Amino acid sequence: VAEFAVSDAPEALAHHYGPLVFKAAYRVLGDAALAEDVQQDVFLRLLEAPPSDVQSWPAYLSASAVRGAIDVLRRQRRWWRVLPLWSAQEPTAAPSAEHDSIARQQAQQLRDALAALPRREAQCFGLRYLQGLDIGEIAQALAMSENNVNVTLHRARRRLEARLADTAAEIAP
Amino acid sequence: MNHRFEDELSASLKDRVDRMNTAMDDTAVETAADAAQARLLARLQKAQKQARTLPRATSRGWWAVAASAMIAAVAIGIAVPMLSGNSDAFAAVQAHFRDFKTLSMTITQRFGNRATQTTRTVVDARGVLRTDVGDQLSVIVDAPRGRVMTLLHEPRQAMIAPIPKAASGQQAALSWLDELRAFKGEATRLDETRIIDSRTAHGWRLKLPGGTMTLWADDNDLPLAMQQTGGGELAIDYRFVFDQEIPAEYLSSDAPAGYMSVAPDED
Repeated sequence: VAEFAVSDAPEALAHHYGPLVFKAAYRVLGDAALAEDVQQDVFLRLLEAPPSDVQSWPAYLSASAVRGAIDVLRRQRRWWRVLPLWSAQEPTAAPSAEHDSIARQQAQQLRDALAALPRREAQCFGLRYLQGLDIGEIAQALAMSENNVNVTLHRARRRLEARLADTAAEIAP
Repeated sequence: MNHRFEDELSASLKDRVDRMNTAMDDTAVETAADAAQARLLARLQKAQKQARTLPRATSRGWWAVAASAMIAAVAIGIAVPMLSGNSDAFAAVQAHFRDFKTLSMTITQRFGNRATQTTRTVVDARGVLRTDVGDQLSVIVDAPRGRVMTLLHEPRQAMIAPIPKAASGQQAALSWLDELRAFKGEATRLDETRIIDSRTAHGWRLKLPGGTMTLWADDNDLPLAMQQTGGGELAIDYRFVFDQEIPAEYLSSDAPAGYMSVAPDED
């Protein structure tokens, strides 16, 4: 999509970047229904409060999608964590056999680990490694300095590696 | 935008990031994205027509989800017992629900013979409701003050927010209650008795559109228990205790001492 050809009208942006936003959210969540919720939320927010001074709509919208998806992951984790009686009814992320294969299990492990990170770290990690934004774009999207983004990413990587190592130790016979 | 910067990741982390990204190759995701896109455009069109009063799909915070679930549970818990019958005998049972200082209920949902969820709900004469789910979560719906407080006991956090309109708040619960108070159906006295809390209990059966209620009361017409069935193997059991002394702070929607006030969706 040629970025210069898209107007700032929410409908036009949704038309051009809707799939991008959906996939950005899906990549984090692994669940189509939740990704669609995030997608709608991103564009309804645009409608209600149009941002000014957006230099790159794809970067802005991707960042919004990842932020929204991270929030959903965190809410889910917090919600089910406090409801042990209901945890047996906890919905799985994807009805399409998310747990069918080791690959999907590993993806889910990373989602779980992301949900446990501080929000900023999870957002930075998602934008960098799932969306492929460079440091400057992340800094702009999250209103942080580039130096702070680098520090936050370092912490996120370290924390995720520790958490995944713990998970592997728990699974090991 | 297509770089993945994976060289910055350890091998195990890189593997998992790859797993998350490869899921995107599924044609099912493409299909879902197309369907979502169509619904998105339709929704935006509708939203623009409805000016700026559109309810948001996912702007709710986790506290609102918790409050919604709890308010719904509380609404059921409160409204269901307020049944009205057409016999004097049943009216004596019913009167206890209309005039109490506090009503404490233990509500157990069952599927078949398995209890799937147990909550404790207390309501006072002002209409302040508190529901405890396990030891970790409590929700106080303070209708007089128009707010709901959610308590997470383990991290000792308190979240206070207006009662969500979309979550069937107290107003909705009361309107439902009014409807039930006007109910003119038949309450049938059962022949059999039960022993509940060492007391002999007499049964009443009421048929309602949503299912059958069986209410048990002692010799003084004090309600002790009720069971609601709504079809299938799902049943809800209620145990009642009337006018138990409840400390005021238990039903307060102010954050308790030692709890940190937390804004919705913030750490």
